[in-house]
Amino acid sequence: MHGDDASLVQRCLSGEAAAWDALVERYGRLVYSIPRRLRLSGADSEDVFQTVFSIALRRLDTLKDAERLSAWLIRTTYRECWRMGRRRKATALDAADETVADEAPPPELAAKWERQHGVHQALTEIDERCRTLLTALFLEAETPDYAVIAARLGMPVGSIGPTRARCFKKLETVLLRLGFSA
Amino acid sequence: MRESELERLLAFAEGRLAPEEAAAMKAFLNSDREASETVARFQAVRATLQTDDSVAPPASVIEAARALFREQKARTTPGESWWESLRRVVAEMVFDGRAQPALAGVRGAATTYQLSFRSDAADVDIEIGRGGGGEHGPRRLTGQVSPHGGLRVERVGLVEIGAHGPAAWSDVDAGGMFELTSGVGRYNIWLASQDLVLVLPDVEVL
Repeated sequence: MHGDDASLVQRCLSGEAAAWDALVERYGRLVYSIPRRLRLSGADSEDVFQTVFSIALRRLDTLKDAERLSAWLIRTTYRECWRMGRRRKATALDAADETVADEAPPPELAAKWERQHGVHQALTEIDERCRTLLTALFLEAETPDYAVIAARLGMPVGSIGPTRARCFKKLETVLLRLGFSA
Repeated sequence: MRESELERLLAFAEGRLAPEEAAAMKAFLNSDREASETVARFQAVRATLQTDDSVAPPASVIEAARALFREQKARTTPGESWWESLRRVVAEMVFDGRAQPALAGVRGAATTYQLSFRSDAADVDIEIGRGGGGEHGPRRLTGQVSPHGGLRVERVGLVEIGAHGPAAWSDVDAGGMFELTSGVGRYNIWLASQDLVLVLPDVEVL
């Protein structure tokens, strides 16, 4: 497991509520996105979210040995979505859940979600100014218009390139620590 | 790597360099692994974010998940295990394969037998057999939980008679199947869900 995660889990086991809050904060987006991507309703997605974190809470003692918490959460969340789909089907309330056809996520999907989580996690660990600039640049078209972004962020156009390089260096450092690979 | 070099690398990755500068950069990247990895990471991050379909959870959902920890802490006194605060439901044995006419009188000789239990929370079927080590080797217990209503059993543990709780827990899969290994003896089998522990009392493993 990633060192930060192992430490968080250990602190949860010691009864530190702030560590649990940090864990929910860190993985909340990853967990909530899975039922939404699988087209579960908002209410069902919230149920899945609560269930997954309930399971995580009860299994903290075994999670401290898990290789990757993100991978465990993806598998557990996907399985809960599948269960939810099965229950819905059994009661014929909703046919849309047929997208969750299996108990385990396809490996390529799980890998994609884990990468997205890694990038989001890295972005949360750098300062806000860098996060805002990089997000704006990354989400723009293939070759972003510096003038537009500079105006939006209130920065001189000439400083975008050097600032972007410094910010990407910070992001890259975090990504490498998190084990992100291209 | 100097900041100005990194800036040029990222400008290349964004397609900002003139054709001749881009060609020179390509040649440079072929000979510099660190630089080419940085460009690859930059492009991977951009591709990841541009196809990102993740959704931030509502604040109320985050808050409810945070509260789980405090609720559990409030229910559990110091030194307790997580299962100690759960309600116990004891199941009743309704079928003993050893009592069937074909096996009557040969209890010790049977290598595999079935037991069934019933409760308001779930029914459980177990098959007990030798685990491959012969008469003196470990026994293999395979079972399936058929819950009533929305009960979701997640863990199973073997409790020696008189013991406080299981020495270890195993997972129950999504289909309610589980597997345990034990020595010969008498045990309580505990099946734990979020809200309760279903106890299969005094299971004799031969």
